[in-house]
Amino acid sequence: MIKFLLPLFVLTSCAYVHHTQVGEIKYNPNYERIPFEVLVSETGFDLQEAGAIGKAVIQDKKAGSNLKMITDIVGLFQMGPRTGAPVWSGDTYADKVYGLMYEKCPSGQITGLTSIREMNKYPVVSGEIVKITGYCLKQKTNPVRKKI
Amino acid sequence: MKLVVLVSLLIFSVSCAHVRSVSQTSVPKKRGQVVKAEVKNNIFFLFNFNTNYLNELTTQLQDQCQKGSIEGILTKDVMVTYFPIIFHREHITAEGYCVE
Repeated sequence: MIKFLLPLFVLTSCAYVHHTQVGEIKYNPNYERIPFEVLVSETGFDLQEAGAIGKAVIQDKKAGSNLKMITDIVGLFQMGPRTGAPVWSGDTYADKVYGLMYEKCPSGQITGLTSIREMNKYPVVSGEIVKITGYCLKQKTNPVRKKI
Repeated sequence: MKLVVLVSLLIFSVSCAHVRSVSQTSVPKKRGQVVKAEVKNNIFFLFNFNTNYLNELTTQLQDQCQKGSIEGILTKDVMVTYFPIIFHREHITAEGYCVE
């Protein structure tokens, strides 16, 4: 039974949304909106799930229980509100979005930002993703003049 | 047996909504027409393969306010469970003011 279920379990992946935020969308007739998207991700590791799989796979009952105990103890240090699975690099991976946005829009005139915190979940590991979409404002070659 | 049927019916006919996130941008002093965008995503057996449907929010808002800025946007992300494990629906709304 496990031989049948394990590949099925390993092959499945799902996308989860944790947070969505839409920012203000500015309008200026002299500028056109060029859409852009930046995405940063880090690998998350679900220790509890790893422990559960380990316990199911390991034949020795005592070794399985020890593994469960270890994961429970480590779990005690991963407390507090959170989204997704813990990552090893701390929270620094999300800091890259500023640089990436500047690369996509060197003028810095950005509007309509949508920030999405999502997770691509696989067994044991996960892709912890921060995605930002928005518009880079670019001046039109023929600006609209106001009638006086 | 009757108890099992009763409990099963109770579990499967309960729908719960929980708010996953809410955000609000600065509300403008001069409030114009209210514009609203929403996307829904049905999830069967907890399988959801992408989040591209979220990109429609800003497009929908811009379509309703083509010659103005959209400010004071309230974004609400709600997950509704209709049948536990079997069927969920994500409902994301963004509502703001069109300032021309």
